[in-house]
Amino acid sequence: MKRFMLNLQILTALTLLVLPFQNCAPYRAKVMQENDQSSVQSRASFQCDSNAAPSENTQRRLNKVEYRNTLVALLKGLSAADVSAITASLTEPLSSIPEDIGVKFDRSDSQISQPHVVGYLYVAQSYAKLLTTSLPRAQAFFGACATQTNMDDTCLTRFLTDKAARIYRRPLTSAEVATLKADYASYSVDDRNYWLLTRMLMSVNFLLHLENKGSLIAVEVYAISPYELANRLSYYLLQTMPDQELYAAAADGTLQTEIGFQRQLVRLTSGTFAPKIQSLAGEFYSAWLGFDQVPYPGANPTAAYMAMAAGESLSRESMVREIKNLTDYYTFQTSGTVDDLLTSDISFAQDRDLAGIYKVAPWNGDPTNLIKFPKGERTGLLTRAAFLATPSAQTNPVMRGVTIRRNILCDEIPPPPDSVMQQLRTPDLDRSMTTRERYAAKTGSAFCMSCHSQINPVGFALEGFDSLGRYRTTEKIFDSDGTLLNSLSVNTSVQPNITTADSTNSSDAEHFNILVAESGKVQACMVKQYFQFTFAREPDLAADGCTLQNMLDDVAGPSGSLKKLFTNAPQSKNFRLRHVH
Amino acid sequence: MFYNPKSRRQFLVGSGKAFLALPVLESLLPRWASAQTSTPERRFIAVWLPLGGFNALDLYPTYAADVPTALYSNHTIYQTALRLSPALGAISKIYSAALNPYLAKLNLIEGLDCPIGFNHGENTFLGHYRYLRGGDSVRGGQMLAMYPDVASIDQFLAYSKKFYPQIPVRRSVNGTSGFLAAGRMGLLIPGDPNSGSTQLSPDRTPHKIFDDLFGPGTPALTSSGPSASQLQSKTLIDQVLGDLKAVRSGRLISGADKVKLDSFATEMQELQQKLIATSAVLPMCSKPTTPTDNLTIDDIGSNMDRTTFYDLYTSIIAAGIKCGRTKIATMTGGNNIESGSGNLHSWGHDGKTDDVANTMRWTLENVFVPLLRKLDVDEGGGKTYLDNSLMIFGNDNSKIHKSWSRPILTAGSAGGFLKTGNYVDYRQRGVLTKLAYYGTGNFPAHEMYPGILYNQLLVTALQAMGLTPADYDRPGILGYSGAALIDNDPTSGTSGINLATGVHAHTHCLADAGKLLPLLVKA
Repeated sequence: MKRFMLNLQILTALTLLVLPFQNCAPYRAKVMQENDQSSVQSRASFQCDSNAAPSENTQRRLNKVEYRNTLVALLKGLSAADVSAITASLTEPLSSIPEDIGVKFDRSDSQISQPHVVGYLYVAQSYAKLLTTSLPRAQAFFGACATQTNMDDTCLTRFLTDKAARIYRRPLTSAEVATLKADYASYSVDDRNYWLLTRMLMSVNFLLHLENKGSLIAVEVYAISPYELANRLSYYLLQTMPDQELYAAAADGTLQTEIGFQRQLVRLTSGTFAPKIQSLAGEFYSAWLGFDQVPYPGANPTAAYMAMAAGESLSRESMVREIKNLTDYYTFQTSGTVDDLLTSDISFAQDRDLAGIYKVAPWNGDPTNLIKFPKGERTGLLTRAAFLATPSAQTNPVMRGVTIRRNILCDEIPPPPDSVMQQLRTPDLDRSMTTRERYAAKTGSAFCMSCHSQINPVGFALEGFDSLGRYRTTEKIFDSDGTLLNSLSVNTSVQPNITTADSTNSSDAEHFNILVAESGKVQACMVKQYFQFTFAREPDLAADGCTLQNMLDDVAGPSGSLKKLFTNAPQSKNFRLRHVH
Repeated sequence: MFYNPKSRRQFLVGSGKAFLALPVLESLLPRWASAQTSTPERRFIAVWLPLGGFNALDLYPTYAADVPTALYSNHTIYQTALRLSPALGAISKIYSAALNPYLAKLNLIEGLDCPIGFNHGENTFLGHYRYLRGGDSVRGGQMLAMYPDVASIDQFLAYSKKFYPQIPVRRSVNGTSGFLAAGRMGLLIPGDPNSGSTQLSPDRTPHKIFDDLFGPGTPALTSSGPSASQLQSKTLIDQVLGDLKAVRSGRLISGADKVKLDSFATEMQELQQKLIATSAVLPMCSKPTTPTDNLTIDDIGSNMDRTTFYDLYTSIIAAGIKCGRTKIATMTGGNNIESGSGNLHSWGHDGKTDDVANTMRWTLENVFVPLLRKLDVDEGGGKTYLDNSLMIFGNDNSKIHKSWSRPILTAGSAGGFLKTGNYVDYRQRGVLTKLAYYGTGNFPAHEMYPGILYNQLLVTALQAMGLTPADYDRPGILGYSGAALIDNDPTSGTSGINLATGVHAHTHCLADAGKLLPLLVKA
């Protein structure tokens, strides 16, 4: 529901359709310098100072998925029918909690607003009510010694040392036990269990990923406690609270041993947990590659668009599904690398409409029956329809360029000045000019080129594909009534300047993709994005250099693979540390 | 001025410190005293549908607002008494006979245009112009650049201390049909108009609204003191705040952590105040029937018929207003009340005007009019709850799939702030602008007259609720949310921008964006 708000924030970047006026120049030096640094770092690796403290991170709340999963996990011990019924009944209360919207990754949203706390209370009361409306449920949750409404002191003590520790995801201190016992006594005898559970589910100890029990190992740097480590591991990989075995490993200290940690990491990334890792990767790819930015082709079917489409249609779902198939194949069905993503000549289009656009047969999902693109037409992630399609009759090379620069290469592209923003216009149609020529003319001033010199070549390199993503060597020019005015040869030769130090020319999209892959910037970009996804904060290149380098080795090293990025992140030293300033 | 240059971080730090320093004082507990004041309480109610596409003949009377009444924004505007169209026995096909008993309390308005030439303007209906659904990158980027990140007016009112001097049981009810949840944009930090907006989750079940307004933990209807359940809730939040305080003063809590914890505490404190709100005994207040189950909008059609569902919804809202538990209710209609296949959006695209008209009329007759009827009961002083309210019924699109000449019907005079019984036409007749969303297909091209800016309805609503411009104005921002003109490329042939001159059809009325609606406000 709220996703479109974020889309529009991202669309700010895409509004650089035309920068017809000045104001780019002040940015140029800064941008080129920053983007240069990024590229140099990516090829020469990140700077790793093993003595550097990790960057600071703050206490976060459980995100909505974690919150829901944790509530369900706490039902362990109830009958399957009760778990199912309670889970279903929680759907409505949970819908009252705002959806998460992170700056880049939703799972890192840590905002706590009034709708959140109102929603938490609604959920907590509903949850407590559901668990106290029948004796079997109450006893399964609070203990066999409990009634629906009450526990005697012995029973309460047992609950606070056992189940309550699962709710707080760590053993309670004696002070906390005493406080909760006193609180319990303050409630009406008619429904003490209900109030106690509601109160615990509203506590900061439940709602936040509290990490305040660590041990000092250097100035402002703490090794997080075994329970905090178990929680980090479980929530990072599985988005839920630690299971019994992981919790036990925290309790008996084995999780803090290297062998014990590795054993848990392997267990939680394989076997029955493997689908969770695929889900984790899917969540990352979706946000990093911007699945939600994939347009709806034909949303505004003008006469010109209908003429351009010539009877072909394309759904957004088909395009997104293909990217999911592509990333899933190279991450989990083969030991693929980023280079594979960027240069693959295999179509993963399962839907007939997209396969038609590619002029191949639909893929049946069988990894032993892969279907290649027609030779010489397209290779790599960036030539998939999801990165090419626009809802209009003409391509938009500036939009394509900005998307790739920002999302795939992690380049800083400054927003256009307000004076430009208010006068954005697509270049006027001209029957004698290709789209490339029109955009080049409109952005041709030296001042505009201070930004567009980075944007345009990337978009122009992909002009061999029309706005439905079909391969082309000529561009058809239609007027607003859909009348064909002209057919012009497209030019895909560019000097893309993937890095400022690289002045190599590319002749077509295939060559362009190779330059992108060889630059190392995509790998570095992916790692920086993944760091943010994992640690819920932007990386500090100095403080987090070792972690970034480890991740880069996992994904781009001699034995690196995409899968390693997802399973190895907890190996980082910083995964077990917290910087408190 | 409401505009507050403090940063969000400063706000959090400040409010957190306040929380830590001050105990909750019983003497500060809120009290509803609406029955004891001489100035009537004003309420804001809006019911609307998204994404229309009407046949103007269905929407408007068979007679015209034909009395040239004033020169406004450099053009003549028109007015006439609102009456029935003789051949229809109703105002119009959509504004059906269900409205006939209330003619004198209504206003029909033609010619209110959103300054953004955009086809999915659900959020703009209540005044948020920055984030709109879908759309292309050009206009989406322009909206981000040119519009402030404000709450919709219902949520601005909900956190206005002038509108709610005391925290109510519930600040607003945000109903929905389930088709689209857009429209209600809350503030990330309630009470801080500069904190940015967030889309609010709608209330999808009458039972939830009932529980919030009348359920356990809410003030008893027969007593002015907090109930036992309320006191228990207060105690519970005190205990939760105790946990927060313990964590905050404990180990390994950084300065940034403290800001986060303080923010959490502030929200908990507000929640607590809501939970212990008490109510004076109000004469027309009676608790509605407790819903028997947790049916949601998703159950319509399978477990409950639509009419019963919305009757329950409107009964609870009306009771909540009459019992002083809230003063704001908004409700979106849509898919659940449609009559044919497809949905409002697809009909808007396809020009299926009969389906749109039927849905609009159904919503009018089953949501808006029932609310109106339930509130048109004596509140004292010779006025009804309806008289003291401003109710708005409309659609964010009009006869095209775009937000010009948005259909707006108002009811109530907001305690005498508004004149009623009028049909006004603000359009600049004679200046045709081609605005068809689709130039081809089965949706015919449309030309429209430009009117005045929709912002004027927003500021009229805010002032009708007792606010002044100083309460909501921001430097350089006109008409609550701003009035920058954004439209299609003029070469598209579907733009308000004149291709030859480059001038937008609304340029001449920009300066009036922050003014009250002409002809309708009492001197």
